[in-house]
Amino acid sequence: MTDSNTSMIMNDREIAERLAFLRLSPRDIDLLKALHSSLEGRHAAFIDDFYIQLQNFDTTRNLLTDPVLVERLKCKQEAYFDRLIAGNYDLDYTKDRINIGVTHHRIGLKPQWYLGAYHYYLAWLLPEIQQQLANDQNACTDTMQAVIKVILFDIELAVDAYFHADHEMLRLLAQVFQSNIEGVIITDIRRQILHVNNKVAAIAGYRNEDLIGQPITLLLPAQERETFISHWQDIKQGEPWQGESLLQHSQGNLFPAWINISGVKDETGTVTHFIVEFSDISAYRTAQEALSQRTEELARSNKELEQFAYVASHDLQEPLRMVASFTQLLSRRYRGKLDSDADEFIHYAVDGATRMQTLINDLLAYSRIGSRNKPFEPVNLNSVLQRALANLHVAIEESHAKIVYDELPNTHGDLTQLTQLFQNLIGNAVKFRGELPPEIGIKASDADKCWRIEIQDNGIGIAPEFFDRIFVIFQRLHNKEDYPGTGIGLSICKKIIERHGGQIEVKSDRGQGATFIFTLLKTLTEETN
Amino acid sequence: MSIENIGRVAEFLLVEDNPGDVRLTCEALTESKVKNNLSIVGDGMEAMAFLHREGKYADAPRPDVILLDLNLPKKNGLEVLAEIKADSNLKRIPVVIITSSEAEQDVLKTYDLHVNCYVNKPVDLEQFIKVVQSIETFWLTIVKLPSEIMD
Repeated sequence: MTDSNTSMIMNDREIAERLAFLRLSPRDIDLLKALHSSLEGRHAAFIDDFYIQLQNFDTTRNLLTDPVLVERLKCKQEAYFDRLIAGNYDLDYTKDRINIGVTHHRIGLKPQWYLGAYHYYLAWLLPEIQQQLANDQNACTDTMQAVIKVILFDIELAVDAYFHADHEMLRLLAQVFQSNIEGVIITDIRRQILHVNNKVAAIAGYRNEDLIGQPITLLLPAQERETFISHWQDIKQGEPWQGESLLQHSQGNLFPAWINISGVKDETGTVTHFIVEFSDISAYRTAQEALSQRTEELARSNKELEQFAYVASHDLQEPLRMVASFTQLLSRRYRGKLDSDADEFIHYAVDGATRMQTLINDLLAYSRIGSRNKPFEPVNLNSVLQRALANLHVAIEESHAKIVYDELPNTHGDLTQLTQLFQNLIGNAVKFRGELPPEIGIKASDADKCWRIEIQDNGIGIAPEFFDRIFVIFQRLHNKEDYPGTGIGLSICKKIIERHGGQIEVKSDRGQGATFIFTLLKTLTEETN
Repeated sequence: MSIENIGRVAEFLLVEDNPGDVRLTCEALTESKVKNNLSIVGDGMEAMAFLHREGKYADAPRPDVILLDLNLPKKNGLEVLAEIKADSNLKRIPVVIITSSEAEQDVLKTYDLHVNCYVNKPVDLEQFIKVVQSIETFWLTIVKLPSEIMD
């Protein structure tokens, strides 16, 4: 039982009142019971006949296509008519009738078909009664009257239930209309406002009564009206329109709104009403603008930072060159001529200046990836690999490294940077070797929009807790005596890969070798550098 | 025949604002085997005054080779180079750009202005000395200079 009919269930007193109004007397009940027992089992024939009749009309035929369903309905209907004249019209009976009305509403069977069923029933039943009670004119008339009374009682219940359910549905839809988070306006075909929900007042400032009967253009600023009317021609043809427009608040200020307009069609397909839904997107716009401003600022500050790193490292080179040159000159000219402390001091000064030069050169190389870019061009990764191997040939020969590689694909990118990428990764695989000569495998695979490249080695490996750290500029895991270097290589790799729309990760463990896996976007649109 | 064989001291003009670099160049040239005289000016205006023998430079020698830095106060190296190469009296003096700039456009612009060679200042002292000495050796012992003919 649904919520919509519970509110309709009446109590015993109301039922008694209704029956009294119809003057259903105890004698009527007795006559109905007598009729009921005389018709025991005979309703089935009537029902069969009735269902043949139902097949003659489209509406009912379309509801009765499933034979299993038809059989079930027939049984129910037989029980329905059987119960109609059984003489017991209590609360339970009432609930049953109300339920049937609600069900009819749910399946879309209008009361006309239902009244028709009573008509057929009477047309079958009245001659029956006449025949049975031909000898008792009074009983015959009274029985007929009693039957008509209970049918009217029934019709009233079922029709009430049908319209009650209809009303409940409308109430539900009205609730949806009112509580919609968008402003909703229903207009007639001339765009005169018929209904507005509460949100319209909240968004546009107008009271409902200020809008009813007004043209919808009331909400539009003058400059938007013409464009709007032109959209309306399409909407009239049945095409919904969606878009952004400025609307005018009752106080005169304009606000950006997202608007959806659609036509409501009648059964013949003619548009009879328009539904205008809109929401105020000022907050969204403001947020969007703030976001794009922030993104722009971020890009600018990133660029400035890169520029700063470049300029700083470039300009720092000059004074550093002085420091380094003159400490070297000092060492060259005065080593062994002053005392041993002086020699030591000079040694540290020369060493520090030299290391700082390396750091600054590395920083310069790193910042160049962002600020001194060549445009992307078609690149064959096989030739990239060959260039990298040529640059590394001394290290490869000295370490007796064995390098195995697949056929690599063609892609887009910066040839110099990609060469550096391969050179750094293969160079690391050679540099961080274990006891055995390095064995390095290079594989490529297709990963949808990217190429996926793997460079695997049998070196000393990396403990997982350092996976993030190794890609950060100047982060090192080993002391300079064992493995020289500033810790720039992998951070340069990461920056090159990111510029090429890819990502890099590492799979490894201490002593287990390492596999560096990176992706490169197959087609690149040149970023604005 | 090169300048070391004509029996006079070779004249260098160094246009350099950084005293450190001036000193380093001097150090490199003192170890030189060719007798040379190094004149030094600190900015582009001074350089032009020297070459035109204006004011205090009335008795300035005509340089055999000019060593020119790019980043100079008052008048930068590119302007000085352009003026020298546009001056019929000066344009035959070889100009060697010696700078820390590795910018491609600086290399291209100076050659467009007919520079005679472009050299980067090495970061390392040993290298720096080597480069300065190479410049000297090349221009003073290998190259045939126009000044030998004019004299």
